[in-house]
Amino acid sequence: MKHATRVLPGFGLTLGYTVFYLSLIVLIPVGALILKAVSFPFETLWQAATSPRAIASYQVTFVTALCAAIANAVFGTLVAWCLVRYSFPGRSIVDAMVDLPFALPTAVSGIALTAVYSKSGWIGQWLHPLGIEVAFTPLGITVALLFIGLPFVVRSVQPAFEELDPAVEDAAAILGASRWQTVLRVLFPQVMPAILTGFTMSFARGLGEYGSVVFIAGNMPFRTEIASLLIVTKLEQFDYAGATAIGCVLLAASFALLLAINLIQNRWLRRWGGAV
Amino acid sequence: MSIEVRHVRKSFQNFTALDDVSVSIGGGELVALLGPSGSGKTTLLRVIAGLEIPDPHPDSAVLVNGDDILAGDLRQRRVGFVFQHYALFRHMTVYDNIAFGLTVRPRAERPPKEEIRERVTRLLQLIQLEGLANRFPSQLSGGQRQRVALARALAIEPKVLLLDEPFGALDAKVRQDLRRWLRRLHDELHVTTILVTHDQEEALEVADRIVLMNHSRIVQVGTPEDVFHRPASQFVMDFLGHVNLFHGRMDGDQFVVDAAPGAPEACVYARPFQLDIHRTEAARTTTRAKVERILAAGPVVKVELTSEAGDPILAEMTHERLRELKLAVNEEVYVALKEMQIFEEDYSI
Repeated sequence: MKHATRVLPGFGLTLGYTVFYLSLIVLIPVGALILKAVSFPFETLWQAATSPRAIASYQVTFVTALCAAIANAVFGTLVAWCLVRYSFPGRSIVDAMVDLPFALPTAVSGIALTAVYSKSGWIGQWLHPLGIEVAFTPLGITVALLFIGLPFVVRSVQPAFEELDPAVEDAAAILGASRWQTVLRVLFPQVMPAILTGFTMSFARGLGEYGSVVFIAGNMPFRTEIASLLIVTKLEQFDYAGATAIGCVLLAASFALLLAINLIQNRWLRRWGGAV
Repeated sequence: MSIEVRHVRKSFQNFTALDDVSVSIGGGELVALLGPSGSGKTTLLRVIAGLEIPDPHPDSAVLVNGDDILAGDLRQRRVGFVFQHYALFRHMTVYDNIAFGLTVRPRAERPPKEEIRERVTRLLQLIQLEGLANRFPSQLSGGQRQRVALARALAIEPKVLLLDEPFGALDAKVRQDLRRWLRRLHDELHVTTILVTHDQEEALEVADRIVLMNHSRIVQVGTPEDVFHRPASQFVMDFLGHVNLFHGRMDGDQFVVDAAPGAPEACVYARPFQLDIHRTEAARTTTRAKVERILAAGPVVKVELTSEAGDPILAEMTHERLRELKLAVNEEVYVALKEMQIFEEDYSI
């Protein structure tokens, strides 16, 4: 077999490195989890994974992560639109602020959010009389996930808005589209794949988030206990089978979701091809 | 529908894109706005389209069929606009792209679904892409995309059709085909059309009339024959194709190249096809020159020469003439002017 000469050097090296690195960082830990799981009898695992407390924790985790990801997709897109389309004083400061949730230790943000949203906090004191409790409720978990998930949406949608061809908007206007029609039928669908990327990342992050949530959640079993916290609780009780079982469920569910969203996205992008 | 632009000025920050431009275009005409890049032609087109608002001025007006459209709403203008880089909606099929201008109309004005279907089908036939209604723009070639863009512009039955360098991003062969196709289309539809281009060949071939622009102003308006044979200025002459420049003086009506000191200087322009090459000194001989290259691959033979003064000269002749002369590289020959264009002023570049 003759080797085709490639223009870019280092195909073997980079692929080898990629496989090695991914194995070390992702595959081996995930493999260890699965290996650990199969060392337990299936019955034990099944019971641990389907215990009412575990199922309640999945529900809390997925519902809060989903709500936060949806809200982030909407408002993150809005923030990205503002940052790209309008120039206003302090734009670069706002732009930098978007990244703060990436940088802040999650414990710090969790404690800060709890302080602000508790009954006597700055915001909580106004919400409490209205009957809205944030801290120590699922709503509080969602607020924490909103905080940590926002930059994912903004940072993936921003470049998509930036690369939109202004001539396409001119074309829509000249063809008689109102401004709302232009936004809804022309602009929005074009950035949809980027919004979905942001949504997915925000959602995935929400599923696994631990640090910021534990402070604001209150961690009441069946009500505000998230799956990752339940894993830690199980570990502290030396219930390795239970922790592994719940870990595997989270892993499988997350992987299935991410795969599905990726497939949808690939289909879009294939259809649209490159820039037109 | 006729278009009339009166005293339009447009400046961006500290750059003047249009400096008191007036032009009128008759109904059903195909006019080319021709000029180098930065001459203001695209800005003028965008002003007519309503995409740019001219600087406010009491004399300024843009009239389509007598109505001042600067006052009206962009969406009511019914202008068809084709962009250089197509500006198609990449997330819509060819069908939806073409139908867009109809489907965004308010419910009361929107044609029924069957009528939209009919009209899109007719346009697809017109652009010869009947089978590709369900493709996405990324699945089409550049020429096909531009035809879709044209169909999309025509779908709203525009009063005027504005094309902004529509073939600029296409390769030479496709460009030629589309150019002829556009001309035939125009002869069928008779929509008043303005075509912006920097390609003089395109303008000369397609347009009924050419509006030449330079430095934010219109420098000449006329039929292709007018502007080609009777250029109003050295710029126009130079822009519309290769020219040879000869310095010398006038001796009666005879141009003499060797400028005698003190005699009034003259400057003549001659296109390559206006030159003759002789073996011996003839009546209208202008200068001696040395043959540098002979390019015989093409419909006409191009001969590159260097004059005694060292200036390059390009001459064109038929293949028969070349055989007759038996020219060879490095030979000394005489160049004569069959026709020429004399500009007494404005000859400094």
